Amino acid sequence: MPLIVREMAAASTDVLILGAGHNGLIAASYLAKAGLKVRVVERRGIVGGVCVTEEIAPGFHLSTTSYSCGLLRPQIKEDLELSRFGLVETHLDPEKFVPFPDGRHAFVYDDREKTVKEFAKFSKKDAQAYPAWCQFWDQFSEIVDPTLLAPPPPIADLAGMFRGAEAEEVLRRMLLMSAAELLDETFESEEVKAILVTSSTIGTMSGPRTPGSAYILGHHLIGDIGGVRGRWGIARGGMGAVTQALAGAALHWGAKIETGAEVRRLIVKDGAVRGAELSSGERIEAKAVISNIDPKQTFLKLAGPDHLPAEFVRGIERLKTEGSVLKVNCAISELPDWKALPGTRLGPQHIGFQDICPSIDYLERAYDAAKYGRMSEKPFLDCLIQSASDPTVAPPGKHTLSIFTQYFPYHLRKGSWDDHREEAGDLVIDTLCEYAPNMRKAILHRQVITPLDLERTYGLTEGNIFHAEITPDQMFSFRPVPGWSEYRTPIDRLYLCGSGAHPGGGVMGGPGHNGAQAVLEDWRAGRLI
Amino acid sequence: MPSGETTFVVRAPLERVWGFLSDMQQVGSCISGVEEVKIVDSATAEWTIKQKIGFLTKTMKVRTQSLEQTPPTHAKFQGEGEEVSMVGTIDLVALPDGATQVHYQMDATAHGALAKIMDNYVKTKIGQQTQEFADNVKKKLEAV
Repeated sequence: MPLIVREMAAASTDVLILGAGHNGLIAASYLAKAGLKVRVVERRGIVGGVCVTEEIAPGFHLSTTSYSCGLLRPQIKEDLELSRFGLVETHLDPEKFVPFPDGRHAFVYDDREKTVKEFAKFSKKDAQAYPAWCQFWDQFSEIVDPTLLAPPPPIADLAGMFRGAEAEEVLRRMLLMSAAELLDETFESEEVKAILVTSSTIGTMSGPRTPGSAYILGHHLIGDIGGVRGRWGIARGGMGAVTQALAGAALHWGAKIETGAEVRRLIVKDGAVRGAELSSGERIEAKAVISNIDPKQTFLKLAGPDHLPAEFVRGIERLKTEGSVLKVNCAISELPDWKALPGTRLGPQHIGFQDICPSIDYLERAYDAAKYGRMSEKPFLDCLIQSASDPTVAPPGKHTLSIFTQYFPYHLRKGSWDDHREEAGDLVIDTLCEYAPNMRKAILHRQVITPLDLERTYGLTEGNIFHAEITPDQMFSFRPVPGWSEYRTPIDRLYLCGSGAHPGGGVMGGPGHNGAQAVLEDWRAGRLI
Repeated sequence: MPSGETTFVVRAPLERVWGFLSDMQQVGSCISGVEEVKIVDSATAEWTIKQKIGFLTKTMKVRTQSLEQTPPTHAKFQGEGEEVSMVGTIDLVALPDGATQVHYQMDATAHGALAKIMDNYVKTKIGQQTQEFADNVKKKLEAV
């Protein structure tokens, strides 16, 4: 029996998973459920990665990083019985409230007819165009959905599905056009375009006029809550409830999870991973290792370039990973009193996402600043008040406010994020107060998470919330590097299961599911004994 | 492997239902997406299937063959195409009131570079398609 097989046979852990973010926990659950001995090691003191609920002030529990669910695949929720382990999802309706500087506002509802009436306030033509716009994205979802829980086929084969002029036109729109171009073709009013554009730049260092941003818009429209496509929602208790349910599932099926266990390096010998060494000095041997850590850290830091082909290393180094997100989490004494729809009593304007983005130009100019290493003077804000629908997260009469905002580039032209954290937080609140002036006094406590904090505390290289940009040039069989998109890596027995693998990020769970399936395939074929 | 099954009652006597469902042309005409059925010989037919996936339309040719027949209660058939294989079974039970209970099961597997994606797609559709099969059979047999 070859030496490596003898050594691997002696390892008491079948699969070691690096990182207890949602994808790592999903992988752990599938593998443990299949009967493998699974051990998960997590650097932080809590599981969850960037899918966590944290108490930022006594009684105020916030989704400090990711803040809304919807993309988590229904198949995963069913396979892992997450409702049994406590996951309760509620969709947001109205989904969105957008105030405009001239005092008008609009809602986006689940009911498309109601949304049509909202859009008619700005343009009758746009109102009539909206159903066809929704149908386009429904059909987009029908094509993309089956690709999410499977390894990506070669891009040539995927593109080969689009035969004929009509299909090629669809492919062009889906992959190559900007969101702004698609919106300009379909709608005439700046307001309606602004309402619909924001998802096209979420978490991405690109603007609404960047080619490929149409795909990013579509990526955020393939959610499903309660069997209804395109819905977004909240998890009761915050996003930490998702990973708590996943951890519960993994433990139920026999996985071991350790927190406060940071990986210092992977142990690689003769072209294969043998396990990992923790910062404590403990060495864990395993028959396979699956990393939920982003590709740059996994390969350039933990494995080391010496164990990898030079071309692969260059591909990983070239990955676009610059983060652009600042998160401002607040405990507030009262709800926003929007100038566009006044009142601090709980109303429909407080239920869904409350977006500050009055036009496509506003969003594009916000991105302009980031191109040159500056914070946006007028940032885009995506606000969510979880407590408006879920009273468990705040003391009675008080509320939580999550503000996801762009653009705050990881690489600042001047200074560091430690110097500019509070200035950035002030800028965000100033912007919010232009639309809801009561918020400055309403804030009881504020937490500002910069791109550097996302890197240092939450383990995201350059603060990129998706491990690597989800622009089309880094998706499908390009992700993370062409030739290595099926979760296996150039190091034998080392796999990826994080958002840096297909189908990318957004608390979707696809990489965790697919990475686990790759391990199981190799396990059943006898390649990991 | 994506799989769908359904059990339904047809208000028609067993022999008539058997005659209908042991005929590959008739079975093909009840499966949604089958646009054309070409009979090759008494046990073989070629189906042309068109499936709509979002904006895209996929056309496949599937050669179907009768594998087993135990008249008038059991039939098994298979279909082989470049991108998909399927195996279907039909089991009939005569009911006291003269109607016939039909149990239909279909297993489908995709092949090729897009196999796993097509499998995922079929999984989302196969339940609906087996139900449509049942509805079409009832419509054709109960209309006369």
